[in-house]
Amino acid sequence: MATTTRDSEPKVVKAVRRKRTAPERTAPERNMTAMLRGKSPPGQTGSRRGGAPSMPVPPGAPAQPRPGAANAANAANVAPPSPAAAETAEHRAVRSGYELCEAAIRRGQEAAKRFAPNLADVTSTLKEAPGAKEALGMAEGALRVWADLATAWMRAVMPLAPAGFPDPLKAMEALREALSGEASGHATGQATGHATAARGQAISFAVEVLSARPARVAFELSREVDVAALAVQPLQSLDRDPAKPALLGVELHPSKDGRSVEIVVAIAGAQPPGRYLGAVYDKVSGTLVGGLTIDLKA
Amino acid sequence: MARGNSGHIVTEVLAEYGARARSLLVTYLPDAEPRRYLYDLVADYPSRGGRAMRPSLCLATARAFGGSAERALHTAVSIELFHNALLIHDDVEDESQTRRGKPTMHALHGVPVAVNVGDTLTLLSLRPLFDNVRTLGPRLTMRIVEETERMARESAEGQALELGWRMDNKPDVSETDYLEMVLKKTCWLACIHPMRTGALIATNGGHDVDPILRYGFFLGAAFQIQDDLLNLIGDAKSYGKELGGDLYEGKRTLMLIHVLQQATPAERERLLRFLAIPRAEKPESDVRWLRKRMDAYGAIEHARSVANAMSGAATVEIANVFRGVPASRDRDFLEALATWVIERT
Amino acid sequence: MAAAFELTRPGLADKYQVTVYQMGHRLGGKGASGRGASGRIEEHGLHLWLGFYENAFRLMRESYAEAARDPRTCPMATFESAFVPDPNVAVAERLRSGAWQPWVATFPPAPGLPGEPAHTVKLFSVREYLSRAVRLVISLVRSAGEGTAPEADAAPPPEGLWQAIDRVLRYGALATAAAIREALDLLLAAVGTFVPRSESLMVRLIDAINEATRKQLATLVEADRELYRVYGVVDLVLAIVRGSVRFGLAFDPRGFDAINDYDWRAWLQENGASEVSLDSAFVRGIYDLVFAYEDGDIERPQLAAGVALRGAMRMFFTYKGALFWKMQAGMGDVVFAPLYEVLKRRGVRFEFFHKLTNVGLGGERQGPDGRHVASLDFDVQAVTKSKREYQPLVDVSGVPAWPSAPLHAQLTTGERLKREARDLESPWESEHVAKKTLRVTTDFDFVILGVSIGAVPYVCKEILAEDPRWRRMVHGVRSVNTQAFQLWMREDMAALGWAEPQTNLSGFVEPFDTWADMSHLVRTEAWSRPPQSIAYFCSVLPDRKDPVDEVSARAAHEEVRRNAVGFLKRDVVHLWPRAVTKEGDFRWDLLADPEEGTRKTRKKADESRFATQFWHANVRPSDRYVLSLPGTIGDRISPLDMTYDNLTIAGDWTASGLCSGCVESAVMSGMLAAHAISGLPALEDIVGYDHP
Repeated sequence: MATTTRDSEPKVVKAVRRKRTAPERTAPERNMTAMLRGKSPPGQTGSRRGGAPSMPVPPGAPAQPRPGAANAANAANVAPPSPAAAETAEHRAVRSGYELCEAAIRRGQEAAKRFAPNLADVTSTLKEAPGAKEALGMAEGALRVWADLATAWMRAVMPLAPAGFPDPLKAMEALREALSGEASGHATGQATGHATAARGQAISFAVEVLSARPARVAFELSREVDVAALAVQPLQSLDRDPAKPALLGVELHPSKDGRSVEIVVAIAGAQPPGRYLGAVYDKVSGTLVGGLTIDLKA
Repeated sequence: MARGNSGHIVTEVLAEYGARARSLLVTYLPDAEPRRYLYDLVADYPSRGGRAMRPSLCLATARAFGGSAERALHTAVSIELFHNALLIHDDVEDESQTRRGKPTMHALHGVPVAVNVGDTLTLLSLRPLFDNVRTLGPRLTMRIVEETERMARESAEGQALELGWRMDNKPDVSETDYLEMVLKKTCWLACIHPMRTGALIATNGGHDVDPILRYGFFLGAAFQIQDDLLNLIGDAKSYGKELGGDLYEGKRTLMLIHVLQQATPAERERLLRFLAIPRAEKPESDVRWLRKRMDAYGAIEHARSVANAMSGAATVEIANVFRGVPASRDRDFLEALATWVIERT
Repeated sequence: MAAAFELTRPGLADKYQVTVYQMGHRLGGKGASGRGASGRIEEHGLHLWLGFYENAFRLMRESYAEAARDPRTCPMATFESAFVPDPNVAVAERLRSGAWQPWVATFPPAPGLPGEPAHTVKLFSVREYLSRAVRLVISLVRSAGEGTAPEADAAPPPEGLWQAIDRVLRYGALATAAAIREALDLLLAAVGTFVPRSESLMVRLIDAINEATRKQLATLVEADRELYRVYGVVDLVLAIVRGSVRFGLAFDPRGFDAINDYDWRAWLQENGASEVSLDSAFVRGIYDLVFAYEDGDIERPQLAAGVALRGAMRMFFTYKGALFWKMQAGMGDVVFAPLYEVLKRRGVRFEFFHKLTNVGLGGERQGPDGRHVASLDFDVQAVTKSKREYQPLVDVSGVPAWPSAPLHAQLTTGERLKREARDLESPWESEHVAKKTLRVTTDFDFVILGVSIGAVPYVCKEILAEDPRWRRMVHGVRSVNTQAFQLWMREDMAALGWAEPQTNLSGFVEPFDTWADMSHLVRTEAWSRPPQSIAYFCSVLPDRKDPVDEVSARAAHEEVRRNAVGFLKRDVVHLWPRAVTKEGDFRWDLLADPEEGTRKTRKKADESRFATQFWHANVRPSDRYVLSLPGTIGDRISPLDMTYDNLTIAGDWTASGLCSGCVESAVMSGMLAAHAISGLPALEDIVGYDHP
């Protein structure tokens, strides 16, 4: 395959041979630990080299005066602008326009990079060694963080909703649920959530929490399952604290028609507070299908 | 009404998509108490007609990129609701008296009620975005929420720029400043955002939407400059606000900036004093003087030529946006807009 | 094609004028396919797409979206109609009795679909892969221990993690299922947090677990094959974890590349995999899938361990949708036709029938101009009448497709070429109407060399004469011949005795160890009396002793025919019990003749009927499958290499990051070639390029 570069100038016999510019790096970055610590891989630049296309600007076009400066010079000019100057003004306007666009595009790209879950940032609060978190959890966590940020934004800019008006923040919660399939439970209450199986068939989950203290249950499925085959490991405490025994007392009761599961979480009074995690798996195929997380408050 | 060939397809498409958007939009206006001071008023601005340019851009872009209007409809409605909310607030901030041929919301019901109505419309504009999750899935829905957040922020920043110039009676606003303000305040909501979201929906989030930003900017800039021109010289019946209102407002338009830059020191001083006077108290004789200065310095011609240049650049950019995209009525519509925005009256 | 796609993206605003010079009449190289009688698809071999081919799938999605074919008239107008998920994979096992049994595994659908935008794809570090591997072991062990009721776990370790491991090891063998489970849980925790100095403790833990699971294995009755296989997989996965820990892969900046000097099997063996597991269909299947046999000799399986490990981790832990994806027509039709349409619309020029003969160099290495490609010599094999542009595609049931032979009617010499049966895709065919030389700056600025490694010694003689790195590459990056045949049959698989769902099977007997059921393609072809099933077989073909030329190519073709016929007579009965007669001969009447309607006499229902089917010996140098031999991965050259400042290379033979013979590797290399020229796409946007 052969490629030529098009010029915007009229075709002239090219005396200079074109050469490739050397890329910033010529090998893949295989050291994931360095990447996860937040160091961008070598050669973060070089992307998006689309700049403003060159506008043919007549020679001698004066630069746009800086605001506040040189007004004295302008004040001297009282005659209506000549046609030549009008044309220059048009070019000027378009050129300014392109510069503004490029700046706006750059801002958007920088913001997108910040929002693309920077895994190190997201997990820094958990004080784990780099690369120690399970990636699936990180991605979910990042999405949750973003959903939280969006909620906070809306809280900040929206006034209190008028009485009787459906709460948009509840709608936001529904969106976050759809993102992560969480179901929130209260100490004595019951809540329902939806997790959508991969093929679009919804399975409903009901969580009943029996506990003297507030506990928050998050149940997450990553793939299509046969609810009859669901089982959950005894939940271990996140920090592997020897003083925190496994949280037993989680039972799954699938319905006969395979469309719903009741999760009963009975927490002993003596269970120390903390976060407990357990794998949810398919008993039949032996594959990991999700996770159950319980945050037990003091 | 518009002269030129661009008129037909644009009016046709605007009418069709406008109708579709409106029929979904009304379902988001609550039918509940309190009516007299809220929900009846909430329905007011959306029902006053208007071109429905923003939702049409969203739907047309989605379809031009091979998507369906259905999938983009909720987002288009959200944009239109948000636009109406900002109109109410703009009218308060500009102290305008008429909107779309009728008195403004605050002229009818007072500022506090108008502000509340505007806030409610903003809230209402979120609902359709959440409803997206059913058709677009959570990731794309979140992306659109992100885009909306950016647009809302840019709009607020643009408005802040303009208000700040007025409050500080800034004498030396440049054309570049003006264009930046227009980019933020007008172009994002009017053009960039509706098209970006339309493209993202059609391509499931995969499309590179930066070329759209350029087109949206030039289109919106041409649109806004034409709007400013029509404020001075437009047909009173078809132009929705009161003629000459910008002069009373002291709005930094290209024409005003041009005069400020061309004026003699004495004229400048008089002009700045004029601008410092509150709107209601500006003497009519000064307004007429300003208008004459604009004519004398060719400010109208200058602004018109810049609008033409913007329109020309938009035509260049739309070709970039649609490179490789097959022909369609929607694509024709979007291409025709570049000239329609400056030909309309 | 991927490079052309990237260089002509709308965002680059027409900066590059791209011309593709293609030998013969078809795009695609090893991925090309054709259509024969009855519109039947005639492939180069078997092409399966894996669910982790993010870049290749993204290219396809974007191509289909941009091609915007009309679904009302074209049955293959969307990406979804071109690729369907295929979750079943099978390996064939030889039982002690000598019989073969298929082991069919269905992999659960994973969330998402391959080819989503780059910034949404998350890949893993070595630790994360190991974590997933251990979880896999845990769930496999649990499923195997199903018989014993899961009691409440023993009390949690009263000490820290490492003390717990120490304690577990101190008391000797893990005797109970509960002990194994505890040890596995400890291993899982350890994998997430271990540091170099704790490696030996971890290794001891893995050994203890391995020994315990093997003991369980020994107690199993052989009849319980399912559990037997499960422990085979457990054994292998533990070997992987053990090896990864021992070799410090989690800390090595080279990631999995650190073990590329080892053969995969040898490395597993060194890390404790049992003989039984090493000979299992599972391991054999992987070698078969990538034709990993040096010189095509099945007695010499060779696969670079790092490439294999990376591939296995990506394949099993990062697939989206299904593990495999099947194309709904020939690869040329599915992949290269829409690409061709899109690129043409974007302004790319195509010069078919241009056979590259030499890459000429100029300039001086240390001189001011730099060493570069100064000229490209071509044989112009044919020209079109009236200099019109060659239209390469035909319509088969509404789908734009590549024909198996050139469309002679468009060519000035077409009649003669057809009469003389000239094969313009053969490197030994010197037929040409003219010669053409392109010169740098006048005719081109940059060159992307996309010929496969097999052709490099022929067309890059100047480079090889002076460049030791290229010589090393040609020596190290080797390829193998492959053989393939396709059958169209009058009965469906169930009637032939295959009871499982539609499958791809590897690890079967030589010479055709891989079989794919492609019956879904029937409706894409244009039979007046459609067959009920289609089967593709392929495997490696040993290198011939005779010199590589057309004579030996013809001999190879005959050899494959003999192999196929022998296979049908002897071996296929294990897969399709009802495809043979009582006497044990293959039921030749099953074979569907695509030209039945036009033949004067019907073909006899004996062995000669095989001639109506399609088979292929891929022995042409650029048709050979590229290998990833141990110790040679470092010989590959990256498309980003700057030795020749206006040349870049593309193909699965280059250092693409994935460095294996597959579509994904080829697409990644194309994206790298585009980056080499234009700076785009950003390297971070090539999914999986930065990866352990």
